[in-house]
Amino acid sequence: MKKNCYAKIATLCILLMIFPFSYYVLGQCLERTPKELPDRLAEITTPDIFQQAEKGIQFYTDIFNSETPWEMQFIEINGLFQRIAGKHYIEDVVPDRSIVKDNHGFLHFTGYWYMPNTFQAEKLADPLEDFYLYLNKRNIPLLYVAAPEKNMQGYTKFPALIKNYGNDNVDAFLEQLGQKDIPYLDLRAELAKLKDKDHFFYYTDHHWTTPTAFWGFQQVVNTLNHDFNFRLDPQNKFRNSKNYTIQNNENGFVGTQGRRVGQYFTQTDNFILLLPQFATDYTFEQAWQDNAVRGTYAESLLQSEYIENEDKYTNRYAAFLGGDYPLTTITNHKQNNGIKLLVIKDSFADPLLTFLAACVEEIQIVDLRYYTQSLYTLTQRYRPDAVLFLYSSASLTEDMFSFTAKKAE
Amino acid sequence: MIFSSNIFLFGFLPIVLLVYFGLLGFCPLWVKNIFLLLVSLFFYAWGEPKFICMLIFSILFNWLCGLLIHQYQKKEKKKIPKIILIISILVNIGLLFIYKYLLFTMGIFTALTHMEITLPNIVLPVGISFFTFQALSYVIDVYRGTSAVQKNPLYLGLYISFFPQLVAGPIVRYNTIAAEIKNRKTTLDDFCSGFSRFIIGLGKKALLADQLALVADRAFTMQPYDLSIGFAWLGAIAFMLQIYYDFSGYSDMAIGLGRMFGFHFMENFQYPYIANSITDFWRRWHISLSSWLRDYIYIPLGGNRVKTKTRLFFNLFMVWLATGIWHGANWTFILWGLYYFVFIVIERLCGLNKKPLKIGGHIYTLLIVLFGWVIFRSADFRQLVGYCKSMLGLWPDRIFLNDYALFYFQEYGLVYLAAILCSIPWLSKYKEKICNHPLFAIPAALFLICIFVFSVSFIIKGNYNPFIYFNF
Repeated sequence: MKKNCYAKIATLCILLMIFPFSYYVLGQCLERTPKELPDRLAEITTPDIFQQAEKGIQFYTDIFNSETPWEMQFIEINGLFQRIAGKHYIEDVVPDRSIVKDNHGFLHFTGYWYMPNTFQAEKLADPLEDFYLYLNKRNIPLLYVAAPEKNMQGYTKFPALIKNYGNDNVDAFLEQLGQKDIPYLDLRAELAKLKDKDHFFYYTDHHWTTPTAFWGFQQVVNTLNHDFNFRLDPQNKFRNSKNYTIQNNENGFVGTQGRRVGQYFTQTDNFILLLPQFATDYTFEQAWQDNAVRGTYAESLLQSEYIENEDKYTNRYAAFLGGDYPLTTITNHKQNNGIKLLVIKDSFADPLLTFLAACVEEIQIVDLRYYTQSLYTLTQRYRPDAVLFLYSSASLTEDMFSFTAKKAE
Repeated sequence: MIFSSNIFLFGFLPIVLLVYFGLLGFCPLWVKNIFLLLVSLFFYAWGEPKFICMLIFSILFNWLCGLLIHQYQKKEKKKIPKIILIISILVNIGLLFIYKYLLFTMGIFTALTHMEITLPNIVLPVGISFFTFQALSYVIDVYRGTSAVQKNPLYLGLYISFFPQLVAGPIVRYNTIAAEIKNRKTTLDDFCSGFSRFIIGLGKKALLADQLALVADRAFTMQPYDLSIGFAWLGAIAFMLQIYYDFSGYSDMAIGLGRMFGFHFMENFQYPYIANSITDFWRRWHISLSSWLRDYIYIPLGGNRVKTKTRLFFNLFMVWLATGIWHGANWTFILWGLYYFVFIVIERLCGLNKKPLKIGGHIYTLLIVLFGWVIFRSADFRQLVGYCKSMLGLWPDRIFLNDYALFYFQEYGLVYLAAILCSIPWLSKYKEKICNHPLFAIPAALFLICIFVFSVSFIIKGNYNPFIYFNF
């Protein structure tokens, strides 16, 4: 064989990778330069040529770092390398997006583990107590539902040192609620009693799977009936899983955690839908967009493009209600029990609410990450029969417990 | 600009290759040289736009000094060339002093005198120690008559600023590439083996050095008394491997890039961690700096050929003091240089430099070098003492292993293993034969492609660090 044959083959192949990559990024540079560079340079008021040069350099560096072709493929390759190298923890440039793989191969977000936990439960429990007392005066019951944690006690194990403060924070918060006599349902404790924990959560996403969300819906309805004397689903029609068809998405699913490290760092997920066999007729209204869709469960409460898209990195979880919006309303035209619920939630609630909608006449859904108006005013205007909070540990932040109108409004 | 960055790999490099081998493929060499000079200046300006003036000044000043020395030597005036040489040394070292050591010196001065002086804000130009030493070696060589003068400032500019070795070496001598500036041929063999060498260097940096950096950084940013014995050792070993793969990776990339354009630089590393004595270690580590200091400090002071041992040790002391100071303006670097001076002297006194111990020599060398890197990596003496106490278990109630040690051992065990295995020259004599064997050519090529793809994946993921030796 000729001298340096291996080097020649490698050089040819690598250059064949470099040049198309380069062609694409340089094309982006050429396209964006006349549109954006003059504005960037105009930010400098002094005629300092070196400062201008630095701005220009930063501009092109940003393009090279942001306009990466095949970015996801390279992240996948990186995940594969990390897996081969026996890594379980991948530090991310965004601290709270760092990923740890547990003993069962489930991915978890974790902040930099060497940062201390600064969570203060009282700061969140106090405003919730105020709101609870306000509702009490109006005879509106409140139930706080703590969503289950992917980090399941007695099941999940992290590598030495790695800490995930989610459970600690929820414990501390629920203890505060207990002291203030605010009713709560701890789904973590209920879930811990069940077996077959491999299917409760997605491997690559922080959310629960659809069957687990359905189980959560059953628990919520049971609690509302038992503790608050509602008579939701008296014939156990909507809570009976036999009345649903399981639809398995063949394209697979890689969730938000998987997107940080690629599909080869752990296994990809199945995405399951539970479609009602009974007749359904809903209107899903996005108040902020003045947009309403009426139809069956699948037509109104599911966004089909997230399911049909063949790309497994599609955020399929957003199929439920189309993701998160400031204020939405589900009206059930097949239900006439006159019950209206106000649900303050994070994304964990989305699949659960699509099931819960069958049991009531109307649900108004608020996401405080985006809703900036006063929750007090909304409650007064809406007059719900009950208020539900459905939060995961990630939502234990002051923003999610700020119930008055936000200043930016 | 960093070699292991998107902008270099997918912007700068392909454009330079395309223009050099495509547009200028049939142009005379002087056109290609001017192009290489311009892109080298651009390469430097990309990282430090305002320091480009200093680099250009260094080129022109040293070119002028070389020219004047040559002119006056031709006229057989002996004093004037010497004066010019002294001026050149003073200006070059002066610039280095202002940018690298002025703040340090002022700090010492204020500490001693208790005077309140506002310290100026001085930013260190990247690679100043490297290009200053290259420029100095040129002027000294012209003065000594060991190098021909370069009358074309553009060519001297190319020698000093050629982008592969501009910011982190190796410190190339003018003689090494003088002939290749004027006359060189880039063969396909050279291009491909140079490119492969570049990929190997990229892999060393992205896949080994940057991974180990996470362990070393964690260990050296913790309070020393919080470290378990095991984690202190893991951190020190991680830094020992990190600095080797960081710097030798850069040297591989520089040598490879040079070869792609037809330049043949000297090797900078020869498997330093297989050395069996400290003397042997320094024959294998940063060879271009060691030989520079030997040729321009040690030998002018008299080298080995002196009458007394005291004088010999003085010469050695000066070389190792310079080694320490060259690496940075910090007492730890000076201590690091003198630490090696002590061991070099001991080896000379015991004859270990000529007859090293067989097996014990490797262990002794590795331990000395390891503690040397702890000195090098420590921010100050307090951390140094604390870290060494952790390694030796001298803090009260120390435990051998804690969660830190377990975590990092589990997470980075394979990276350590790969790094250690790659620091030993297994089959290096047969490497070319094996890689060119019909059975292994394709796997060898695939191996290089995998290194490239994995390295790029880390660059895109954003885990890369700047090279350690950019600071020197």
